[in-house]
Amino acid sequence: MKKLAIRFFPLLLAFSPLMATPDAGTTITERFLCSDAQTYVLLRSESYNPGSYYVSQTKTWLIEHAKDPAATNPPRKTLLLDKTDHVDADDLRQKTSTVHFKDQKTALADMLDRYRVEALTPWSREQTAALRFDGVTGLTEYKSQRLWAGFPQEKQAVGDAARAPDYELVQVAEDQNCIFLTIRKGQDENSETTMVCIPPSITRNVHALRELEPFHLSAGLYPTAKEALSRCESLRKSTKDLRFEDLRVWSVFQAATGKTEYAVIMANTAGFLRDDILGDKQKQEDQPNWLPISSEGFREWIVNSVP
Amino acid sequence: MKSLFLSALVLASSMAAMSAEEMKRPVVIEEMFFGSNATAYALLRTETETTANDGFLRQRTWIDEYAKEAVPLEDHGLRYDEEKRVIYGKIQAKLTQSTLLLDVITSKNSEADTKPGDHAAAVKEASQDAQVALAALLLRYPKRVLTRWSPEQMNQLVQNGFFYTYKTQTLVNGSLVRARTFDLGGDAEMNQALGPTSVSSVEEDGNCLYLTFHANHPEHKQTRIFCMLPAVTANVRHLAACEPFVLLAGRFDTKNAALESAKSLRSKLDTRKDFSDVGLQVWNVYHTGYSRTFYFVVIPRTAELIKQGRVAGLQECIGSRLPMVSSATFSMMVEGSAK
Repeated sequence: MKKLAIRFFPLLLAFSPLMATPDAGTTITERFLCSDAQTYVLLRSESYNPGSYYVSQTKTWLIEHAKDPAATNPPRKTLLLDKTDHVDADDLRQKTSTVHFKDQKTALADMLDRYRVEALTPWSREQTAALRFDGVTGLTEYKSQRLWAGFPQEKQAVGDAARAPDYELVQVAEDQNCIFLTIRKGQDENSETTMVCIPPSITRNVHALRELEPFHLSAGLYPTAKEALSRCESLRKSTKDLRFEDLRVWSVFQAATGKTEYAVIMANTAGFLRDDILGDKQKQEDQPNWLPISSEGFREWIVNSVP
Repeated sequence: MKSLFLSALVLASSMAAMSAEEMKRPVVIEEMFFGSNATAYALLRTETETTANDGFLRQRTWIDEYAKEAVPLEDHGLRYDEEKRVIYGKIQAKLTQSTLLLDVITSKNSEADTKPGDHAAAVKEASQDAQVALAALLLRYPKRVLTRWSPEQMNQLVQNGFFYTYKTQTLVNGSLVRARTFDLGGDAEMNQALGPTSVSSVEEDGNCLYLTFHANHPEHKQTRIFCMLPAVTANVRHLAACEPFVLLAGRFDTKNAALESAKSLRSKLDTRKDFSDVGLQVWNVYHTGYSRTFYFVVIPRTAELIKQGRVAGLQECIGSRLPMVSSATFSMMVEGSAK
């Protein structure tokens, strides 16, 4: 294809006055570089084409973001490179670059020292298909959990069924504690590929929702999270066979009443039941009256303490 | 006419040269499902034998008629009760009649020598039963098309030697394979005689499953159809329908105690309008840890009751806790009220 283009290039030049020049446009691409538990680092390149086949200017930034949306420090943006690429109009193979700025302070070794350099683990096709992604706004949800509200400028388009989708969810991947959505808008010269980091607390809840069994044994439903957590603690102390990780507190939306309650549940119910073939364990004196409840209304795994 | 005479002569002299033992030796046995009704089924069985000098094929076809009645298989002195015979697949159908329909001897070599149209010259019908009317058989066994198991269902069949099981139910027992193929003593002898074995399909009529079993020994190929009698088939269907986890309403040492309890629970449930739709089942459960059998009274459609948030109310109605148990060790449903 490339050879063909070179062969017909003189012809192209001869007719070039008749051909339309490309539209001016900017291509924005964000790529994941590295991360640690609190921060993730992206390489963002903005490539501006003024409407020419032969010139384009590209600026590349290193952007360090806090993973926690509540963090007050703004993203640290470092311009790494600003250059203009030229293609010789007489010979497309001849390319030259003019470097306007080249950062000398940011050492790669520093980045490697500061962050874990690990490729993101992509979600499988089945996992990705379980997400609900709105191509008009970018709104992304998994079961009852909203991962991302979408692009702020698209807020007015929520529920606009007549509008054609602009955004495409290109990839979903994870590092140690966050999900990253790669979302693209537009094509070729006028496209924007951005990465959205889903904070650790939401990522943890998505994982917890994914692990839910159709029903869980429950030791009780409580009107407040505080009461449920306190019951959880007392059970851990009074029931000798229960380990810390066996019990969890979930907020449960009760569709019948429209209220939210808090359930103390057995996390690995299927495993617990497989060990209790005769049902004796559940009848032991120190065990609560385990009642099976459907996990359909489960909304959020309430975590306020660690083992 | 001359060639016909010569062929007949060769056939007659060759047959005379065959020993009686060689004539009896089946090389290939193939069974085909013919049809069934609620109480019986029929198979077409073809046995193909090759003579010693490999010159002739003898092919005999029978119609074997079976009653769907349980005949106990050898239990090696273990004295299984009826329940255990079903669970361990220690029963087989009763052969009521076997009728030889056709006995044909074919010259294998003649195919190359015979011109088209002369093929009849190479075939000798040793015997033919003209008494068995096809229409009568069709009338007796009207169920002709079986429903085949899906690949997902087939994936749940587990093979272990000559045993094939579905969950805890033994479908094909080694004793059944022995009884239907070569009645040889040890597994090693059986392995040698049968070669690699497999089940290619499981099909169903109204009350029975039919497994097509293959023994692929190069000289003794067999395709046999094993019928899972109504008691076994019903249990397979109960096991398939049983949810992975169910509510346990009681655990008992004997079946009678479990049945009594189920009866009393039934009356309790029937007195309550909001719980009279709840069913009860009694299952035979074998516990490997205790090496013994228990009888569980369980509540079916547990998932639905949980979804409806009715378990707490049910506990209150029954007057005791309802622990949940895994059904992985459930062996046989002995009684069920499908409400």
